[in-house]
Amino acid sequence: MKKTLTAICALLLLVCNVLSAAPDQQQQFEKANQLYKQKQYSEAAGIYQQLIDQGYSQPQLLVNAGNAWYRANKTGLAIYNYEKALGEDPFNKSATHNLAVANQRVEGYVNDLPLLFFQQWWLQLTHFHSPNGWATGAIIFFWLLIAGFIAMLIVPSFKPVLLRWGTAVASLLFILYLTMGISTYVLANTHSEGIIMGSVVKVKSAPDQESKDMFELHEGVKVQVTDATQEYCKISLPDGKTGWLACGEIRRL
Amino acid sequence: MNVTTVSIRKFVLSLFFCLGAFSCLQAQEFRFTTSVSNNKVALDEPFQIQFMLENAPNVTSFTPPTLNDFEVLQGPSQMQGQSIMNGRRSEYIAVIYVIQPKRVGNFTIPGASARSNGNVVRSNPVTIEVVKANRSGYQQSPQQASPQSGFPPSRSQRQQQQQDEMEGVLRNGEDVNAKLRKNIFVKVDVDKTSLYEGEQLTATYKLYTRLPTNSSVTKVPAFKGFSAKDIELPNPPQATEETVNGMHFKVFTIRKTLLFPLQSGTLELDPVEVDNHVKLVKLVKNNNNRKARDPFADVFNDPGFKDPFDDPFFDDFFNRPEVTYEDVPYKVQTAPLRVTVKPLPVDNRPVSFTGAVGKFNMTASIDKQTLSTDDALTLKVVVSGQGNVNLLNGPKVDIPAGFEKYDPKVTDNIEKNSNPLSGSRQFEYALMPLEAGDQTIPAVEFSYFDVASNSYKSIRSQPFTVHVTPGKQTKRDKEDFSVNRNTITSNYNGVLNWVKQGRFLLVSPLFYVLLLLPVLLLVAALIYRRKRNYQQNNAAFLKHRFANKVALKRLELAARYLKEGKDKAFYEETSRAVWGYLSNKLHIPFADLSKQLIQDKLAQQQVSVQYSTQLFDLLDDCEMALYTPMHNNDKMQGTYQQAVAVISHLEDELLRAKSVV
Repeated sequence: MKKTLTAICALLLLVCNVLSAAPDQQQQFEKANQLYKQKQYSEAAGIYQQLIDQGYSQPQLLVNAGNAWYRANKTGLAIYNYEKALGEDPFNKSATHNLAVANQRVEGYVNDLPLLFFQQWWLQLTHFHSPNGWATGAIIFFWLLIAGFIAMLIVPSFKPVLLRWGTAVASLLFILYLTMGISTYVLANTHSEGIIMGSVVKVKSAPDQESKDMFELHEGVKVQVTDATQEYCKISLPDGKTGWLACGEIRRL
Repeated sequence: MNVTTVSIRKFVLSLFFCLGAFSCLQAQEFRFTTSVSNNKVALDEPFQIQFMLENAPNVTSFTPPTLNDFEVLQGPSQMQGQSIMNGRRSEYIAVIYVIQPKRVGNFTIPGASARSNGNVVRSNPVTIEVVKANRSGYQQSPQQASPQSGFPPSRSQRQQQQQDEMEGVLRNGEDVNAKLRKNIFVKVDVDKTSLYEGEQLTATYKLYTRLPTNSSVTKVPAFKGFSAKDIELPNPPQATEETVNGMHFKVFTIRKTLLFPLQSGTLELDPVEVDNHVKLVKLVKNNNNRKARDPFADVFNDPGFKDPFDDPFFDDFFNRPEVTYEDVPYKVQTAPLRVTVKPLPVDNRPVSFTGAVGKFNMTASIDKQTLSTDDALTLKVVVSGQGNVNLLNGPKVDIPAGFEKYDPKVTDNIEKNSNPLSGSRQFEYALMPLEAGDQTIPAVEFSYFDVASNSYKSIRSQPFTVHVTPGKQTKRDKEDFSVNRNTITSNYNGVLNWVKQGRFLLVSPLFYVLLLLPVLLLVAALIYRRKRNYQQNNAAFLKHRFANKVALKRLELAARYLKEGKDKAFYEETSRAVWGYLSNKLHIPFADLSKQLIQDKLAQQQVSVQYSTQLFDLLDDCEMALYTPMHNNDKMQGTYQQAVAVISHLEDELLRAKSVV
């Protein structure tokens, strides 16, 4: 089921996307890998970043970019890329591991709480399909549902019990897929989390320059952005601290 | 000689007087010494010999040694005084002769004897080397030569004595450097020059001086190859007195260091350098005529005896004008000293030897016998004794695997200024039990090299048995420092599927088009169904509505057949008309029609039995006429009338029933 859906999804995506010159990207990617091997980390990271900026967001690419930034001692960017990769694929082992390693460099890193079992389940469910997979599924089940209805309307004598059950299941699945599709879409389009990019950032008590400093955050700390004005963002930390800081210091995930 | 004994008697009497006056004062340290101004003299050179009684209580007699080989030029003259130094009072009596050797050679002047407090005491003997006269280059010669010209010999000797005892006076023509060299030097004393690695060596740097000097140490030795431990010296430095070749020197200890060689071979002790500023009194003018007589001199001395204070210095002191002071800088340094350090013997060296040299004792103890895995155990090893305590390494302790061992905490307790260095060093090993059960900590062994017996010695403690009970924290997670734990994984180098993240299908029009499409289909299906339903419903209605008409039309056909006399066709048509009417009116398919069904239906429609019997009579007549052909025009007419009546009655009845319903 999943395979077929992904296949359909991939097909749809292929149709949707302009078929770009894939070998070119692969060449770039391999060049960056080569540079990484030669310990020219900043250059490698630059190429990876270019590919990412072009709109490619394969977890492997993001992890490689994170590795290069990590080696180039840009912990903030490394963590940003690892988090991105985990956003794409929360069960990516190397991204998880490397993020943990990179977080060791972060001063004042507060451990995230481990997810509860139902959060884990939810995460697994949301990543069962890609957002477009959920949408495609919703369409397919909707069609099945309608087909069932039509069959019931037009051919009343065609095994009505089986048809009725089938339609009920199809409608339930349609609702599920549609809900999941919407929630994944919302999830993918809310940028409520961010990584601190400045090496030392003063967190203020109010969104203006004159307010007093409350505490300091170091590069690479993951924060929750709860509110924002034009220039200042309100952040909260896993340990409950909140404060305002300039939005330019945060890179939203 | 007669004169001598008389003067001694007088002198002794005056001594008694003095001592009586000062008897209340407690003597400090008794010393009876012989000293000479010079122990290497030329044949015709006069020199001075002095017998000094310090802090001697109740001196009752004094016997000078026999001076057979010398000629007494002057003396005995006596001098006495007291001094208070650092709150300690001391008094002294000195008897001084000026003598001249008669022969060349080495002579030993035996010590003088005196009776003090009833005991006979003797001073030390002095060896004098007499050489041929007029030897130039000898330090003392030029110093001696010039005063002799202007002064009588006796006077010059006395001056010499005063100068040595009291202050540095530089006479005309005296060589400053030679004088300094003779009277100030530094020396390093070591207690041994050949020793083992790690064995203690005591080095003492001393400044010897006979002149008033202001000294400062400018270069301290670095002691390369040694571990040094200084002994604290009193500040300000205390002078001691030492006699070198019969000459009194004030000795200041500059530095006293305990050294422990760290390597074998020939090691050099660096020289120490001392800057001196010697204050010398310079006599500008020699005035022989003026003589200030000391009033006390008459009390102690007979007129024949020469006045002890009658000398140029005291003249100067009272009259001043001829004296100038000179500050002479003078730098001295010790000769470098070499020390041979032998390596420790390799044979029979115990495994547990870690470099301790000396004489040691070791105790080991643990602070508890039973503990839980949550607690910590402390193994305390104390090594005490004499030797290189400050360099001790902890004894090797074989901790079983059931314990986590941490680096020992080292506490030193070294006795201050102890020589040889002694004290103790304490090693505290903190041990964390990891597993419950009975554990045994093996005996602690400590070895050292004993210099006295030239052998290695080992001390062993008892092994310790510890009972470990399981604590709350039974299993502790060991921190994982395995290879890949703290390094990032390697890059992905494979081929990627270069597909851009597309737009979200959910917000694309396609999604909604695709959703709308089946809805349209559904709508189409609904329309179709409705249409079909409508059509079906409409046909039935018309049939019902026109059932009467159809029946009447059939009956018209039947009427034609009646006129034409075709009775079979007539009955057929009549029967069909009735049945067709019933079929349409009662919504019963033609095929399903039966009398019973029609009766039920009619009963349902509450049609009165009268009409239904008429209907069934008609139907029966028709069937009878069909199967028993019998041409009867009247009957045919009657049947026709009956059929029309039944249909119109039924029509009325059914209409009524419908309206009722």
